[in-house]
Amino acid sequence: MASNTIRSSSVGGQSAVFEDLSNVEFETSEDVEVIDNFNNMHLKEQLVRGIFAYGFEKPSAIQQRAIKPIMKGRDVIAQAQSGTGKTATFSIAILQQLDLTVRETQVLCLSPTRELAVQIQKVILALGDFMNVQCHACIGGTNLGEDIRKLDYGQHVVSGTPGRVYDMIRRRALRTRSVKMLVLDEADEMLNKGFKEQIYDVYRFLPPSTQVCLISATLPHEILEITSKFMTDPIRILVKRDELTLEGIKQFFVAVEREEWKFDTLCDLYDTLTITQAVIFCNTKRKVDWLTEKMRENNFTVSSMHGDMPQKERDGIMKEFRSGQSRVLITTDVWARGIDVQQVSLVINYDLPNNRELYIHRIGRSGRFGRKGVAINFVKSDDIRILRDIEQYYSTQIDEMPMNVADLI
Amino acid sequence: MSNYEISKSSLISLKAEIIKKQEEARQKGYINVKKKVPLIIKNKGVEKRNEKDSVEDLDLHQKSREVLEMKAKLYEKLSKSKIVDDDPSSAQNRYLVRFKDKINTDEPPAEENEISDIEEDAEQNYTDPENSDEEWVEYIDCLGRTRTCLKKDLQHFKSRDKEYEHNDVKHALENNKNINENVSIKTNSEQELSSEDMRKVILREQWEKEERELRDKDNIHYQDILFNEARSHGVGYYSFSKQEGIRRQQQLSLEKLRLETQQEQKKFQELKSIREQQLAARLKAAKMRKRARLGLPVEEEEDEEPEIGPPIPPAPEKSEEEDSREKLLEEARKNHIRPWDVGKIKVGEFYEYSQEEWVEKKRNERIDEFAPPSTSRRDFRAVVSSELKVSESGGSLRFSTKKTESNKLQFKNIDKSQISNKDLQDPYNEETRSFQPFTFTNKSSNKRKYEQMESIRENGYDNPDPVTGDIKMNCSFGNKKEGNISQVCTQVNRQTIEEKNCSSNEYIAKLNGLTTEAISQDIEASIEVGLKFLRNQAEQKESVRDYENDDMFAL
Repeated sequence: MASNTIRSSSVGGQSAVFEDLSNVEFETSEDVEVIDNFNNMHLKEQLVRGIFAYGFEKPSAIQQRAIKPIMKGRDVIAQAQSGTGKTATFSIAILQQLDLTVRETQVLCLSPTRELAVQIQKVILALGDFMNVQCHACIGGTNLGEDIRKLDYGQHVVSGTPGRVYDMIRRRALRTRSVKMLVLDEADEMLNKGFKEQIYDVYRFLPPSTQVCLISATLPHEILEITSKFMTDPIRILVKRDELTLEGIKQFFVAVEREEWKFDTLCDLYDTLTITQAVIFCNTKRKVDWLTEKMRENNFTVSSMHGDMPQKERDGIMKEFRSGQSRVLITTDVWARGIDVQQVSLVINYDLPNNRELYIHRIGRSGRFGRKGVAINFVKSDDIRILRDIEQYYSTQIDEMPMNVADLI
Repeated sequence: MSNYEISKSSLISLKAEIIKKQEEARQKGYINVKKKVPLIIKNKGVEKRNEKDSVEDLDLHQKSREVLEMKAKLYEKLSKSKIVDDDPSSAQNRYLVRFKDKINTDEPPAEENEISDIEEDAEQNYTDPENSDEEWVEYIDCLGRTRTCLKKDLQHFKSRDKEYEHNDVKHALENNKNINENVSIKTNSEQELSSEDMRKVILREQWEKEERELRDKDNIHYQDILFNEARSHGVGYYSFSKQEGIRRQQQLSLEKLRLETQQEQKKFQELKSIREQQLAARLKAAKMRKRARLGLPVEEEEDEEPEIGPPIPPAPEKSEEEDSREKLLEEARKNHIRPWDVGKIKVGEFYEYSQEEWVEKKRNERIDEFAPPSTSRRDFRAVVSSELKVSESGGSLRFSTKKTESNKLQFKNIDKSQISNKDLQDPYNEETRSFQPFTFTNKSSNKRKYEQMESIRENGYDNPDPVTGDIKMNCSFGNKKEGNISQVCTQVNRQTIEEKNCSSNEYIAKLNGLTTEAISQDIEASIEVGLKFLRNQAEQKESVRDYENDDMFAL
């Protein structure tokens, strides 16, 4: 231990990064290299083919900056606007680093919701399609024995939720000795109160100095502060909050005097909802159930999903929505982060979200990878203040909904 | 005045000469030759494809034209029929457009028509506003359209529907079988489904079936978990088969195709460069000839033109200073211990035995007297080649004769980690489900001992570049020794005291061969002690089986 302090202090100013961070203003690291072409990233040939097959042609801003440092083995904190290819960023870096001849878990990828973990698995499998990578989704609500069997078979990457992953480690079904990288998607959520302990539990089982990558569209200061506990001199790629909202997502509000009027407004908007696909966010599971019931009573076709449903049901609803079989989804914040369905072009905040970060994530369900999107907020008169606060915080523009909103979708 | 006298005759003869030449040229057809028509390079097959496209287009146009004509005929027939037919089964009443009304608007209203209109209105007025209790129901007609009607009318509409389907659809669209087929198939299937919910149920069943199949599958790929997702892929996307064998074949053939393409490209490039070279050589030769003809001296050989190709980008110059700084940083990063990492054991935290290792471990615990004769030893299948190698190269070790010992010590190393792990507490208290920061037990001696061990271990395992095999030996030797220490020091403490006396760095230096001689003796002694202890322990173990110790996960 003594030798460590000597060595790190011998580097002079740089040692500061290892120390207290509570008063530090976090900025994007200097000299982050920008590579504006996948061909110049020195990726495996099969990986490049997977990337192009998946539909990427030119790397997005975050992909231009973050893939290289992750590939080099550095700890990375990467922030970028919603729907700009963050998942693909770390997936590409992961796939590049994998040793496919070793059939052991080399990368562990944790995310806050099961659906997101499954989606990440899907992305990794898609990008690594030509590499024949093995990636397992290790999530709660599924058969334990099957999980163990799949892990036993040998997976290069495990994408999961903290609870089940920890369980699998303790059962020794998931061997951590070959783990080289830990990725926390939606990192701010993962390091929030509810998850932090679980992350710590998992982290304790990883080899020391495992490479850690944090990815999210929102990274509040207090989260950046605690990163020093498990990261070493990370490369930071951050976005200022006034650049966090996307131009492509137009934001509106509908002022209603009473809560009941929200329902009527929603019914009026139904035709607009079904132009492509839409997601309606409520703040509680009960409200989701209530609203779904009421919509169906009024002969509107909607589907709904929240965390209290059995996993099988959740799976089915996800598949229906992804395949376009259902067009309107009423849900809670379980859907707020990371879920990527290309055709979603409209998000409705039936209730305003409980914090500013969630607002960014919710409206980010639309306008995926350069597509257009519309977000409509239902606000009661006392909610307008909150909305104005959000508007100011992100220096964005939330206008009253125009009549021709359908034209914008 | 000029010196030349130009006579009229000479001018005339010159003009005559010009005319003569021009005439000659015209006869040969040079003058009237127009500007060269630029050669239009066409890709092979483009025209052919265009032709085919246009034919296809024509076909399509033809089809749609036919359909439209048919529609027009029907429409005309309906609108022209002057007879107002109230029979619900007649053609007029079957269609949504009220041709009867149409007649009225087209022509000046006749009296009769007016009357019939009123009658008709009365008849059609079957939506009774007072009867709001009556339920509206949705049904899907034979064209797959969702319609609403009163419950009492449902039967009526249905029967009308059927008739329509049976007679008109088939008869009217007879001319156009292709389209007709599609339509009828569609309508039929849609009728079978009868509702959106039904379709969803069927899809879910299908997905469940797919999932069940996945359960038995070892290799899961992207196509297996796509589940009809509506996602647009890139142009290079290839949907591999879900069957492993076919998938592999597809990948192989793709690979082959790609190789072929690359070869073709390479060949083409080569050909092109050869042609270019030839052209350059020919030009040069022509130039030389010209010069020779003019009687000029042969031109000096020009410097070979620089190879055409992308200029080699200048290597990014990094000053040495930066380089060394980067190295230092890298080192610092490597040695930095994150707060959450404190207390972790560097390598082999959860050491897992392979079958061979386990056998070997057990074998080493065995009392020699019970061992099979040494001659049969090598034939035993559990002896792995790597072990054999160790035994062969073991000659360079000072204590080489004790090969089994060294192995034994290596394995004891793990036992040690278990022992030292006892000093470490699980930060997560399972019973209270509470979370405690990682702490060592308060016994400071234990703590110090642990730290020293770790530093040794770090240096032992993580020596990034063992310069020679000798050093490597020393490293692993450090390991083994440490394993030994761990055994001994918990009980005997002899070695521990020695460790405490020298700082870890010195200790490593020592290990690295400066005083190997002394150490090896030291070690042999300690090994002896350790062995004795081990034997005792093994005997103890026989009597008391401690299962908990086997759990390497008890952190």
